[in-house]
Amino acid sequence: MVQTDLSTTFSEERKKYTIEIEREQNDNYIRITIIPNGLRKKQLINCVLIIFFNAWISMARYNPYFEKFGRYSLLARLLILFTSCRILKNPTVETLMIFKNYGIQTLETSGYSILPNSINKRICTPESVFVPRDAIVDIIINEAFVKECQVIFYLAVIVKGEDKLKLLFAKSRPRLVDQKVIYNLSRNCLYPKNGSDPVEPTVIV
Amino acid sequence: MSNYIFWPSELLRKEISISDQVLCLVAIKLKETDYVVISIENFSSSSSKELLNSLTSPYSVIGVRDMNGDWDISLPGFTIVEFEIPKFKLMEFYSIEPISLILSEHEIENNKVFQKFPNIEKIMGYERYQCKNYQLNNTIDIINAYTANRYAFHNTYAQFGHFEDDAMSIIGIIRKWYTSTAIYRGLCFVLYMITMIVCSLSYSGYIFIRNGIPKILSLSSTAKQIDLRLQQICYFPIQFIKINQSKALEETIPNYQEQRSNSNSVRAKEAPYKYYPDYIRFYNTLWLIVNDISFGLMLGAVLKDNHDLIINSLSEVVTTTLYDKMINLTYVLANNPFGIKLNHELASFLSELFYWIIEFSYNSLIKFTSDKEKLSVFLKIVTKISCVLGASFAISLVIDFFSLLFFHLYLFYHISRKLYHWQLNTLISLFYLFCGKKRNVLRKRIDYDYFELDELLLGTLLFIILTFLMPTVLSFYASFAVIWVSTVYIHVILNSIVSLINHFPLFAFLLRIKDPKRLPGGIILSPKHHKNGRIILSLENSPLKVNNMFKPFSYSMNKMKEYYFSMKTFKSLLGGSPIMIQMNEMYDVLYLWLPEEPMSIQETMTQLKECLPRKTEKLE
Repeated sequence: MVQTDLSTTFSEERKKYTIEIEREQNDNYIRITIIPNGLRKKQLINCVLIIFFNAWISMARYNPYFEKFGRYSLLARLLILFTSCRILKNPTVETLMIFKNYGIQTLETSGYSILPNSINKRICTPESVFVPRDAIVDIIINEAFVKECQVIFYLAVIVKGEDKLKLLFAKSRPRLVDQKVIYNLSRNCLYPKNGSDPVEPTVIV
Repeated sequence: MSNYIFWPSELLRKEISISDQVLCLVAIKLKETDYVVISIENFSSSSSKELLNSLTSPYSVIGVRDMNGDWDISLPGFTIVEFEIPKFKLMEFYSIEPISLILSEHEIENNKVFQKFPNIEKIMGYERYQCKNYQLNNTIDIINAYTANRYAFHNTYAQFGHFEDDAMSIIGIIRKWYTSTAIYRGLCFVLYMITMIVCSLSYSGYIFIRNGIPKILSLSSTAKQIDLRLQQICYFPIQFIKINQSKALEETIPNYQEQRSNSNSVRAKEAPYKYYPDYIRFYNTLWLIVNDISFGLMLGAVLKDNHDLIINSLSEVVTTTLYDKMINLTYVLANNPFGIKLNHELASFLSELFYWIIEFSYNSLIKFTSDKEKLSVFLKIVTKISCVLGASFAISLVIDFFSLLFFHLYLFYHISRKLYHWQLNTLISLFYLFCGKKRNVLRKRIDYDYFELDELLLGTLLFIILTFLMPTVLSFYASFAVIWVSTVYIHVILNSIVSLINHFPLFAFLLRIKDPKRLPGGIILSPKHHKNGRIILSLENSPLKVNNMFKPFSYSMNKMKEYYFSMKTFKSLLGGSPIMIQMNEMYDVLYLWLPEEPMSIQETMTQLKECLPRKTEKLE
């Protein structure tokens, strides 16, 4: 837990991911990041896979498939390189930011494995969606059936005007304990007890 | 309580550069917004202190910075949000919802479909659904009009700072002089008359097509194209008026002294950026029309160069595919195709029928059109039209020409389809009879029924006869269905090309590449860490996603997939339901950039007249 005058950061490691919560002093702004464990390892594996696959494709000079293309064999190899880079990406790091009185924003970053982190930060812009407060009906924890018999819980936001729930942390699924923490934090931040909201936020334990 | 202070980044930089004075922060706050920093002023001398203390709402001093650079801000629990001032002249602005290029009157339709889900009705009754909190929207309105607000502040309190006024450049002066001369007014009047004549002609043409010749719009794509052009021409003056209105609004300065009591003063006035989508739509249509004409010139040149080649191959193709091949096909079908023995009498009867239709259409249509001279005349007309009116007209003329030629294929398909459909239905109900069931039309289900012996015998006999006749009919239906479906595919592909030429959002797309801040698709608040550990958020514009721009196209493609390429098509082929060309449903969604009904000529005339420059006009 790191604390400066003006913000606290709290991070905890679970089996498959690390959850990091950064809160500003007055709770005006809360950021929750979930980073999958073994990020570096997976990145390395992906990188190695890409290099070996493409090396095998281009080194096999007498590969009969490529003679079909004739002049375009170089283009075909480049295309395969790009598609493999695009498919084997880093595991996604998802972030949820809550702004008091304004709404929430979700951010998903997933860079290309083959490029180092500094270049990834610059060229891969994270996908971000901002949901304003009056468009949020509620933040809920819902349960669903997966693989026909397993029950999982997931966090979702009901958005006014949409017919589908907006899922939070869909790819890196946090456990129920963390989901409760996120649920409480976000509802307290967005709908404070003395605010102008008609519905009182309930805290679950 | 949370307070957000919106601080433009240029003032942040200014604050850092002035490090040895006592400064104070002046911000504007209307009733339902957050604080937006308007200026940073010098706080040292007593006279400025007095003046600053006398600032009336909506302006106020919210913080003081001492010599060390430490800010003392008097609001509890604040967060600073940094933003780049949107350049008003370049039509940049922030918006929480993505800018919608569809006319607002069409958007309401989505909600009606949406409300039918029962869960959504329950959610809509929940209290939080109904409450509205527009604080961020109002603050963003202030930010969008930031330059005007700052100008207003410096106007009201002229003692503060110096505001760099946009010095009138030479071009501006010349333009001002020119707009006040009589020649300009005369020119405007002449243009007005020309526009009115063109507009009234197109309006009457539009009425003629819509009301005079019903149903032609769903049959002929040339008529649709003409209708679209006329609608666009009728809509041009109105778009022009709207854009002019927005330009006039840009120059008004918000005056807060008078409107102090009115809380929603910012929202009450029409925000100029409501008209930016109109600007985009107007120039997009213009650009598309010019593109169309240039494509037409290209196409015309190609057609002219290969005139003879096209004529020869076309006349050959027309006679072979439409005449010779069809005769071959019917002959083959009549005489044991692929070695399958069909019922001879039925097959020869059907093939006689089709021969007769082919001969009839050949003598009336095909011989006429495959004659080289007449084809040459037609091709010359198409070339000329494509050079003058654009490629879309040329392609739609070609589509209509081919639909006319393929008419006998349409007849074949329908005849064999009807036959197949009846036979299939009869077979199914006779089979139910054989099983002892009957279809209950009232209850729409299959019920057990008691049949007499002679009914059963007769039914079974008929069933056997029909079963043995089935392969003949099936083979005719299968071959003609395949031919007709390929005709439909050609038609659909050509129509899609025409609609791409007509409705491609080229302007929006290029604008997105050139200046994404003019096409906001939402905002992003991203945190940045300031030097003393404080977190500063920064407000950025997230540009419109490309998918959003092409939404009508993806909708139309989905419809196309549903009608022609899906399991549903296959099932309707099997069951004998008709596969038709649905012109209206697929392409009407692309018309959402135009209003439903064009304005009548009288209204357009009065509105345009107001825009004409008058003799003694004061700029307000």
